[in-house]
Amino acid sequence: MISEKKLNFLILIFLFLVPLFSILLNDIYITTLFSKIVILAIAGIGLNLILGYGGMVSFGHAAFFGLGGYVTGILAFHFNNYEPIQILVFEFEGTNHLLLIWIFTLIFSSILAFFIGYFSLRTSGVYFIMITLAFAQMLYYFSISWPTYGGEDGLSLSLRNQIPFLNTMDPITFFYICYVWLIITIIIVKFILNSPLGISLKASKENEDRVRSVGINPKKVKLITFIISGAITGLAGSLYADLNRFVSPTILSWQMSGEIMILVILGGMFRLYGPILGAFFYIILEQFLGGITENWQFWLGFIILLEVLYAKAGIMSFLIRDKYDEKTSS
Amino acid sequence: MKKPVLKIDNLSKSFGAVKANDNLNLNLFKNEIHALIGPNGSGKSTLVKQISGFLKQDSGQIYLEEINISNYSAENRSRMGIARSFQISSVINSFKVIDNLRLSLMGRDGGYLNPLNNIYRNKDYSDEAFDLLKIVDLTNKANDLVSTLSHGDKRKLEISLALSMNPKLLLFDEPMAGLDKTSSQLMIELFKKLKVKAPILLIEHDMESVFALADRISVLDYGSLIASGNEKEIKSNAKVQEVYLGDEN
Repeated sequence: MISEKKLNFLILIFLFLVPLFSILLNDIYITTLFSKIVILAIAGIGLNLILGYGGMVSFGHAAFFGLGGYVTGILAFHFNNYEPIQILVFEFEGTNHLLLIWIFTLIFSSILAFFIGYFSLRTSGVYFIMITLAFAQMLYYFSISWPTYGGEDGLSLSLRNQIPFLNTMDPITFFYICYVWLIITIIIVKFILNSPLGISLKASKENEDRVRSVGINPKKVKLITFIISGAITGLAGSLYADLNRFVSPTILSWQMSGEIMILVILGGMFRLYGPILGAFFYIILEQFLGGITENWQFWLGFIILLEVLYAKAGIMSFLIRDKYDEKTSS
Repeated sequence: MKKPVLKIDNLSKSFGAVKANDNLNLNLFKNEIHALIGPNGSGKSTLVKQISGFLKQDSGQIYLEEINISNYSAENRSRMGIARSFQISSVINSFKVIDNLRLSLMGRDGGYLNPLNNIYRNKDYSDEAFDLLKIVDLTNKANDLVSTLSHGDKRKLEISLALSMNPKLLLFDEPMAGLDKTSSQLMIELFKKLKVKAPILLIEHDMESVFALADRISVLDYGSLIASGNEKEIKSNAKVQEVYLGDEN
């Protein structure tokens, strides 16, 4: 057992080095696998901000993940076929510049998160779960019935989108782009958790009456963090679309929401690095168990069951010395 | 004529067929402790919830320093200076004692949506929080988790949270409940000092504390005000004797 700080550092070093060694050994598969881990970890950190720290059980985060993917796919699609995007009477050119695509992704994800959050946060508990799921399912069925962008078959990107002076088609380069985003996400969320917004969020999760009695509007706090969470998850979706060079309605499905939630629970909900560990183990389990049996999810379910019963703070709680749970989250 | 800090004008609230508050009128003046007493279910806590904005009145008006706050949200009223404690201690148990105060100080100042500043490094808040803990004698427990505090210490923390809001009015809902004799006595001494800072509307069942503290006492029964006056007037009121004080005196 080690301290949390050491474990966090080791996780980052491990993620940094393994793809590097895999490239030296000419194993592109591992690099791609680690890119997927890092991307899902970013999505997980986004969800954990509201789930672990804010107590908002969103079962619709695939909406943001998928939107990020589709924004990326649609902009690249229009860039490649030279057709402008038409919105009402306005026309926009497509682009394959990742920096621009990320900006658009963050803007659109934030707008969607504001819209979903505004209505969803009027409810709580099981109704919140259902309404977030309903919004994501609406987008899922919309994407299926949108033939312009492939409908059920999805949309292929012939090449990854570009950043000046970097070859994004190179697996290791793309991995480190994702890795940099992971670090940025960690820094942003760490800032938030220690900020007035973060402390208000944690307090709102536990006792809304107390929070209101000291002049804080918990709804506003939750909405702002919901928007930030949606934007982070949207960005992860954008990277995912570029990683696979493909985007389809699957990334808007409730299974995707479940996947993000499971990796957060698996790693540990109340810790910043929990979703990173969760994403790593989720992908490893998928690869390892998936190689043994088609029904690998059965065993994943079994593991989650054990964890929920005996270790609510996730895999992190097995590895760190300073035991931690929801009761000591300040 | 003295202007009241708090003025309640024909306030009514019903839950179905039950009238929790029925056309209540009440004033609270500077440097005053006004105690609200009455049997369980007489509408005392309902009144506090309406004044603090946690419950919407059916009819009537509430004024704070002549501003009609009847339609203001609870958080707006808190920022305007209506500070309260709860009948059952309501603090953030998973936070440290000092972090509860940091939370209330930034709530008071309205910067709670700021996602950037590190709240734990704000020296002004830390200093102010320690000053507030000094008032309630909790400085030695500043870094303790609230969940490990005794009931009495949680009560004290609630008082310091109320004070952190720069209150114009303090609403204390049964602050002595569950406290031992010594702690109650300390609380009485504290309230006597606090009323100079902000008038106190006090709900309390411990009549010894009420008579030791209150400048004025109002008695509620079935949501209606049945008597209001000083200790002597209340003690000698036949109706109050009948519905509430009974054998106690």
